[in-house]
Amino acid sequence: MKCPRCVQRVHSMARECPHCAFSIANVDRIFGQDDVRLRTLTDAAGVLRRRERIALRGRLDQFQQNFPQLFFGIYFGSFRETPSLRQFGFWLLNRGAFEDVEVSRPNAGGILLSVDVGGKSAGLTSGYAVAPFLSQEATFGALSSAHPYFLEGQWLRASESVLGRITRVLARQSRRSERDAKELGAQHDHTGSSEVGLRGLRERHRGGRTKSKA
Amino acid sequence: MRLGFCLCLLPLLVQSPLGGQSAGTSDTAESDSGKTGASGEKLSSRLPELPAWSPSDYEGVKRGEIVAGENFFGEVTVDPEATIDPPGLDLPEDLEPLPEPLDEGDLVLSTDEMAAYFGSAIGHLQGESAFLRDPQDLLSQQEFRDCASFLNYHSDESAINIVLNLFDERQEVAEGYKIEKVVQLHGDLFKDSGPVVLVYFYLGAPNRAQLMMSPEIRAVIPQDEQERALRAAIIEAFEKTDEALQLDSFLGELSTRLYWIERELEIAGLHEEVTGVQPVEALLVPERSFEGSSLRGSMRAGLFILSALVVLVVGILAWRWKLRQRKYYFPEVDDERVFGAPHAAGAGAVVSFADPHLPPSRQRHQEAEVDRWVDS
Repeated sequence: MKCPRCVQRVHSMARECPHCAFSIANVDRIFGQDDVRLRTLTDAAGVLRRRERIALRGRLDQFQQNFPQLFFGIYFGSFRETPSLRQFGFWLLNRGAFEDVEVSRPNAGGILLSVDVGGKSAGLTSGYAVAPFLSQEATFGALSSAHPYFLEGQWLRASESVLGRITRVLARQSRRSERDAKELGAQHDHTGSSEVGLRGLRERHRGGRTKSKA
Repeated sequence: MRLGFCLCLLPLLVQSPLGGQSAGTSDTAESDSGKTGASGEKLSSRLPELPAWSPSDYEGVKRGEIVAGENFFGEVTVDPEATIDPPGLDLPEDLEPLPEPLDEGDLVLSTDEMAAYFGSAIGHLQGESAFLRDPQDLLSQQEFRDCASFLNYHSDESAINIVLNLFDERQEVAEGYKIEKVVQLHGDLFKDSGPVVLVYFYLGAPNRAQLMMSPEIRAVIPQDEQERALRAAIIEAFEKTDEALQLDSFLGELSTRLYWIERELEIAGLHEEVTGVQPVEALLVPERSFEGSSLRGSMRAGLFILSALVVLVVGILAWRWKLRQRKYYFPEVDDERVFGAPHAAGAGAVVSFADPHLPPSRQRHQEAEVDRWVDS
């Protein structure tokens, strides 16, 4: 895991960044520490037409239908006073209260696409439940696929592109985790020993190759 | 002794033509003519007169200036009007009388004769073959058996039977028995036999061959393809010179072409339909069916393609619907509290799109933002 401010690796249990002393308190002082009520599609910058908003809401609903534990949020804003879109996304996903998301889906299962229309940048932030399945490269690939649309100001198509890419990645990760769980369960049932099962899992993580006695 | 030998040769020399010439006297010539008599006169009337020798000629012979027989081929000595009778040959009498040429009246088959062709339905013909009709015995028995055997073999292997009617090469078919009319009017002959190709083959004139396919085939197979099959069979027939071999080649090629036509029928999904028993009304084709058959075939092919497209689109939609309805789950992850954040932590990814000339990888925000951050 990396720090949203200094982008340095930190321990997963660190209360603040050992490099820059960053914590949520820092961003709370900028944006506020109270929860912010908003919807999964928030167009604060006013760049979407009505028809585009309807289409995009449909896509977000479809995402929630496919992933019962997750939700996807999109925020269009213009952050002239905010120098860091990365820290804003971090803060909004922690302090946002999404009205159109069921209570059973906590923000830990959220993915937030925040677009700085004025500053011409876009960022993706994911909750704790999603982060293990969404690598930084995957999120960067999703943003890159939408880059031509961002350049042309086609916000709907850019959002759809990011959403589609993230959907495919998560679907693949879900199938993989399901398959791994079945294999692990089968090995566990076969051997009756969790230690052997763990060893098998570690071997798979190394690509399943055995060391040769050269 | 030499004088004695010359005296002995003198009388011989006098009797010879040379001797006659050397004698040169009219007494000797008269005595010779008197000996030959009447037969000599008859012969001399047909042959030119003998040359007469003079004493100077005799001297010339002695000196070697004249050679006897030198001018033997120099003059015409044969009567130009004489004829030579050809030698009589004992030719054998004709073993088999040549076929008499057809009279003009025989060229068109009468109704009674045509009834022999179309008097009974396929499979119930009186004769050795249900698929070969040769009431005029144009083929020999062996040729008939070979041809009928091939047609029966084809019938066993193919769903499309060939019904072959043999005619003489100059034969004309009456108007009411043209091949189109036969299929149209005598459709009940073929009603129990499934798809049929009716063939008129004029023995010795393969280029006059005609074929007509039953309506269920014409509904699927375009007219030009039927004509191509006929042309290919005719070309194959012309590879041979013998009439029976021409017929064999014609049928062999036609059988091959019908195999591909049968495949097309199967592809069109009509195989089961055409091999089943059809109502008589379905086989009776209206007058305009020949013009409309290709249109109907196109319509059926269009419907087939359209239905296939509909099935494909429905399948894709169903697959997409199923994909949309699919739910993906993730294993539960223990909540962590990094930086004191309750729901999320991590840097995520930020990409700038300020410069249209730089790729996204060059506009990726990876640097620390400590210096840019206004921390109160």
